[in-house]
Amino acid sequence: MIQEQTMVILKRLLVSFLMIVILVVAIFFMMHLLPGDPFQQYYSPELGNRIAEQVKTKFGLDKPVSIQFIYWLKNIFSGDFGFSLVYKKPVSELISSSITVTLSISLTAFILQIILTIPLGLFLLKHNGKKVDLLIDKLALVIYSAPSFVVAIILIYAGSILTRLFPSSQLYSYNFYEINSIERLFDLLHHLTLPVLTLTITSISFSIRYLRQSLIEISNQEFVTTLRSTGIPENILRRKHILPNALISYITILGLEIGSLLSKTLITEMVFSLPGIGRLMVGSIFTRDYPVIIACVMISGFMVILGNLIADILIARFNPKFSFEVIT
Amino acid sequence: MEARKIKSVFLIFSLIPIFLLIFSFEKYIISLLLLYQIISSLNLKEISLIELDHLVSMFLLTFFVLNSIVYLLFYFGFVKIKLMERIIKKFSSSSKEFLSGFLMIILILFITLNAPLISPIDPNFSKDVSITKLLPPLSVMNYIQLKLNKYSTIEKNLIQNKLLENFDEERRIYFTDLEIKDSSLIIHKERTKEILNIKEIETLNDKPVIKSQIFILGTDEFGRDLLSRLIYSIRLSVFIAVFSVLISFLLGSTIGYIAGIFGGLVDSLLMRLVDFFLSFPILFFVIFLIAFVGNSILLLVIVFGFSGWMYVARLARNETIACMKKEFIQTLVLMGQTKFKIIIKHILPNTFSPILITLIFLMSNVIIAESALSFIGLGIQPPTPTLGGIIKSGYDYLSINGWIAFSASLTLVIIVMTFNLFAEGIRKISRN
Repeated sequence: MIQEQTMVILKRLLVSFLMIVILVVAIFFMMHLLPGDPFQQYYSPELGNRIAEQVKTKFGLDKPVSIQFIYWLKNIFSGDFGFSLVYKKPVSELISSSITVTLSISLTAFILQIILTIPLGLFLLKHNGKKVDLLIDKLALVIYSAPSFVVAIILIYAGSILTRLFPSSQLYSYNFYEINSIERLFDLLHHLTLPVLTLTITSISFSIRYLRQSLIEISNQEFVTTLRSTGIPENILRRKHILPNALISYITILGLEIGSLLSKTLITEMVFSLPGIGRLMVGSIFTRDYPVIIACVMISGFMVILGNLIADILIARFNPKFSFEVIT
Repeated sequence: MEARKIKSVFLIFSLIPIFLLIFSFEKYIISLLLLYQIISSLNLKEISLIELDHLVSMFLLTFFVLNSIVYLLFYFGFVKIKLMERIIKKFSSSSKEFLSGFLMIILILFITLNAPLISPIDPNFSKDVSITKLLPPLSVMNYIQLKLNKYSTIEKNLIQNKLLENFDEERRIYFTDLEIKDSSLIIHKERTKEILNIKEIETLNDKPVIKSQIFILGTDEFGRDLLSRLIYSIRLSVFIAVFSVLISFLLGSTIGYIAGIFGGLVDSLLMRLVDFFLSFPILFFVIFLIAFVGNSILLLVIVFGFSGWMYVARLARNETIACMKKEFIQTLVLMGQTKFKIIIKHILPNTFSPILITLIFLMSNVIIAESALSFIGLGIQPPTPTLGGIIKSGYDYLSINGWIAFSASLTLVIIVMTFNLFAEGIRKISRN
């Protein structure tokens, strides 16, 4: 059994490695196949052929494509993604500052989701079949059907335009650098409330329906009836016996959620104009800042592949019966 | 649900096409005239795409209205239709989700197919932006029309003239107030005014003909009618979803059935391919493609089609393997039936309903993804109306007129929910 699991995990590792290789190769060759030469941006045609040759040798563009590819690989794995054409900064600097924003938002939302979903699931199981239960289930279906930007807009309208409680965009206030560090922390939290709430609500609406379903299914099983007949109090039965069994499928859902976390965060960043990696990427598409686009796609691709890998390992570890059928 | 209740729900839905026919009667009659003209002159080459669109939707509206009339006759007991009774009986034994999802899908199809006739104005038409922009719902604007001969250079025959007269929206001049001085007309538009000779304007008894346009859902920031834009954007979303899911279906089911039937090395190779694509960061790759290639409807359809086939393939393969183990298939194999025939005749019908459920779920996913892409500005470019684009422009004017974002978001959520409900309904039925 354990050997089988390690085999699955090893296989997944191999697939992930292959995927990273293919991603990198595809991006490189797409850059070369598609029209437009990045070299033109550094060189004016009026300078004459001799200088053009010099520039080409300096950039290594006179060498064959395979050697260029090796150079490119070496640069990427040493963290050198080139130089942004718009921001006039090294790309790695841009990426490292934006990735912290993205990761902090998405991970906070992820943890908050776990903290909130489990008690909510238990609450729904307690009131199973009552009006509250059905109402929350229907509400979850509606929110699950709504894309994250719709949820974000509703939250902005309620929390920022009607009540003026939270700011609707940016990461910090204009006087951020004049206030002391505790106030800075509060300022950041104040600005991040709505984005994190958006991500949390959308992912809760996805996972609560599955948790509720599996909780109900397990509470209908025979062992629960047997335990109930022995006179265990209901809340202990729910917490100690039904929940741990239902968590297996919940972990499966969490695994699937990790993979889609980044794409959800991209949209949320766009709505709240937070300086995360998604906004950097979309912004650089509009300004045709190719080095930044390539770096962003690669980093986010790595992150998605890593997320899927973690998810698959989690699922293989906790729920070996799960056969990766479509979950919707 | 009771059969009587279902009958009355159907009644409400059958009234919708009749109501919309009355609502768009003028356009309908003109499309009929257009058809008459085409038939009488038999000149098919001169039909423009928009005219063809109108004609097709005219036929479909006729079809829907006839259906509704037949249903009304059935409801009030004038005719007896056995098929209808059977359908109602079937619905009464199925779930509520299935019924509501089914009816909503019919409604969405109706809207998408009849968009040109039921949309009040052209979705990209904007005129006198300063007074027509960001109007609240149910606001009415008055307008006068310039005379036809001012712009028209080509002599057209009577029917086409009629068409132009009614639908050449370019000739409209919206105003807030009118003043007539001798032979000149002063048109007030909030802060500015325009002076025209009264001869340039359509008149009746020397007085300008004042018509009015109602904007049922109000207008957006360029004074374009929001309802028309929503109708056309639903059409685009459903179009992209249907065609990309079709690609997913063709590709995925082919690969899945091949893997399921042949098994062995082919199966494991194809399934590794599916695994690979399932955890590949597709969204970021799409963004990368759009950044370099630029975007078009065709690219979006292909890309979404290629990002959904894995689910279909995996399901088709699993279902086929489960189906192959059944005794009647084993018997057929022993009898010497060819594999191709077995797939077409026996496995395809038996594995159809789970695949259909997946396809409908994929459709709602594609609609969400497409609107998300247009929301961040990477999807289909304006002025083509898309749900995501409308929500984006509504988001920009959220504090002035929250209605735009609200109505577009509601439309999007309703469409996605319809597909989800329908799929869930089918799942419940096929389980029983």
